[in-house]
Amino acid sequence: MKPMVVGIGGAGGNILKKFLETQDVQLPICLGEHLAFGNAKGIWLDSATQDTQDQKYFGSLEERKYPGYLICHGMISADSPFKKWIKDTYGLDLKAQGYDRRAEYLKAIFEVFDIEKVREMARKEFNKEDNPLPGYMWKNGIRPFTVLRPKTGANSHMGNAPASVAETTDNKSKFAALQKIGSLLGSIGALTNKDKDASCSPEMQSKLCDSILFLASLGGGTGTGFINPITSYVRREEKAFPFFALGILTEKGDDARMAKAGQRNLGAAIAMYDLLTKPAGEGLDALIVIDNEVLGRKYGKANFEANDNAIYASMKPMFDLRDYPGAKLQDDAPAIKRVFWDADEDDRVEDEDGKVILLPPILVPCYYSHAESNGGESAMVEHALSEECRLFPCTPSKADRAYVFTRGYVNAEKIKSAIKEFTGITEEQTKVYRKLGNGFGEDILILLRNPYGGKAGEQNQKKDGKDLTFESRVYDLIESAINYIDTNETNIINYLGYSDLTKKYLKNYFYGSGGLREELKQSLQRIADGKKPIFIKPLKIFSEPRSGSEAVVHDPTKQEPKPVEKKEIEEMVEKELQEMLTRPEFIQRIKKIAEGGN
Amino acid sequence: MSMGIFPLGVILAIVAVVLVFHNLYINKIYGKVKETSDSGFKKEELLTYLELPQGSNFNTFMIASWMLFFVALAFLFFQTPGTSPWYYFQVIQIASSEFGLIAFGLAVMIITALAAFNIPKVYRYYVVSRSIKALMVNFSLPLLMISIAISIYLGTIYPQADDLFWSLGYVTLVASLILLIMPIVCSLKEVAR
Repeated sequence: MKPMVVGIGGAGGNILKKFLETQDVQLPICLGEHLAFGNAKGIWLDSATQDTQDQKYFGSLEERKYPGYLICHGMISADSPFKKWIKDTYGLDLKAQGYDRRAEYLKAIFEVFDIEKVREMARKEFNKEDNPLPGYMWKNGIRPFTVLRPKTGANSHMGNAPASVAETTDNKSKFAALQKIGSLLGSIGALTNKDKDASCSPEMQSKLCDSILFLASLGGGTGTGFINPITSYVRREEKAFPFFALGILTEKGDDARMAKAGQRNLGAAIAMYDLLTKPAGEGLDALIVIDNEVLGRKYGKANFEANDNAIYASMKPMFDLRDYPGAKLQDDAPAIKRVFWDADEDDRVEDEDGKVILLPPILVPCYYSHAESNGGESAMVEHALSEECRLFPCTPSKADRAYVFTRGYVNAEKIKSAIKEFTGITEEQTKVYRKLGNGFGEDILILLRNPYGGKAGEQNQKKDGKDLTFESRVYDLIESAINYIDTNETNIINYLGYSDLTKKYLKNYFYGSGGLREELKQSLQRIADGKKPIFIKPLKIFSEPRSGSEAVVHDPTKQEPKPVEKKEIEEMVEKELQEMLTRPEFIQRIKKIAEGGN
Repeated sequence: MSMGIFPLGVILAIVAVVLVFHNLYINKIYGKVKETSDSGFKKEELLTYLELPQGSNFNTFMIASWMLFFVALAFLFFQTPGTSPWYYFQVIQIASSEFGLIAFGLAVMIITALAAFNIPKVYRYYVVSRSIKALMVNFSLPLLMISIAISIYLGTIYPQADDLFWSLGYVTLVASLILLIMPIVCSLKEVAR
């Protein structure tokens, strides 16, 4: 598996830095390609220009810097007529600088493109592109690093060997000279290492990423909002390309940015809801969840650096390049994707039209590492499944499958037996991917598939305020989100800038019959009853009104004029009247009327 | 008998020991993988699975370091009489030339180019931490340059000799060699497990 790691938003960017840490020697110049662990590539997507200016690690991808960032609305100019039209019609700012935990705002920005009229307008301005935001991020930011990269075309330059991180410094003239020396020396290296080293050989340069891993916090900000639109956009053409997401649930209570827990939980609920209700071929292939609350207890609440390191370390067994000899498909992302989708009869869900669909699985990572071999495979598995090594509260025995990634010299059959012993998951339902590792220790990552459900009342499993089950953590989150919806209608709907039309849509989405509030309540019931999956029905803001909800008549041309427009009209009428009054025929007519004539 | 035989023997012994370590490392891993795997595979195949990219900065510096290592070795042992039966000053036409030392250095580089370009390929079978890489890149080249500078100094004071400087040149050469074989030495821990 050689993923293109897409860090989204502030948290996603910080974790991405760990994934992209160079494995090469740090020098003022880079003599070839940037080498990250597992040969992974990456990009940081953000909406706040200020955030990108406040850091030095990422350079602008538009300026061919690597590791690079892309501002999601970078291709929309400040004076874009389309931007103005969207603002006037829907009250949405396509160039909003950050989303301040308002998942619904970002959701609206992306979903407004579901409206045909909007797509039509976009096509006119953006060179036939009907959804410019995800289109830009995909075509300019992500695709050039993947096997889906077009061989020729406008964006093909993006796939060239990315420039060194050193380019992000201001010292450009010095850099140019060093780069010349570097390229000369680099070509010597390339000549001698062309058979393996990705950082040098042209052959390996063409070996691009075979999958995408999104990294984002599920806190309701930029990270939460981008995964869905990009995935949906790409899925229009690429049904089979593996897409995985690693979502980090933010800690309980108010966070460092003073965002209310309810608001963040609503963001997380919307994000998880949207990610998990898109059927196979339309959205993600798996959502890996990590709970910051768990990491916070382990490494300290505000110790984000340690948390990010822990997240990165836990994913290393998936990325490691040294496969175990003899075993097949150990690093094949499409094969791993297929295994993740492997489902049972009771995983099937009927959509609104009665069509049987499969929804993407939730994977809970359990990670354990040790320096020396002690106790063998059984001890490794036992440790990994222990409460302190689970990165999200869950009950391992409830998982329907286990995907195990190991580094070190371990026996696959023994791992399977140990998994069966500690979880009850059969050998057939366990897949083991072994890597040779670094030789100085062993580590194991167990991804438990859907480790919840099957028993009613599990949402109450807590101890000293700590969630013991997946149900308990998610139930509280959804409950908090519903509570926020109920008590913050003004904050949600009457947000400064929304047009009346958008307000109506939002009202339907949140409070209408079959809307989010109702669906979340049903989700709570499903959790309480021990049912799977938690979320079923996909919901969109700009969708047709559901029965019983307030009808939204969508005709952007029949909008009630805004106060500014009214003033303009009054001025125009006044001007017209003054002109009329000065015309001779009009004066004559008035005189006639005054004299008593017709 | 030349006085350089023992020091040269030490260097060759280090290289021999490293070769043994390398084989031990491969055999040990082969054994461990065999123990934990049902599928049959050959030892040669294992090498493919062990390969890891090390980065172009590192690769380039290692090639340069090994090239300079051979130059430093030749300058120290084959430049002045007394250290080996054959030495640079025997070829009077080159030794008396203004660019004699450069020609000597280039000749060594050309003769040992194949080795210098191929030896660093061994690193690909090892997990080399970034700190070890940094240590190797930051210190091997300067140490080799010091060794070469000392050898040039010894060449310029010829027919006089300076044992202290020769020893210093030798120590820096051996130190750089130890740095260059560090990934293999560090793998001893894995072999010992």
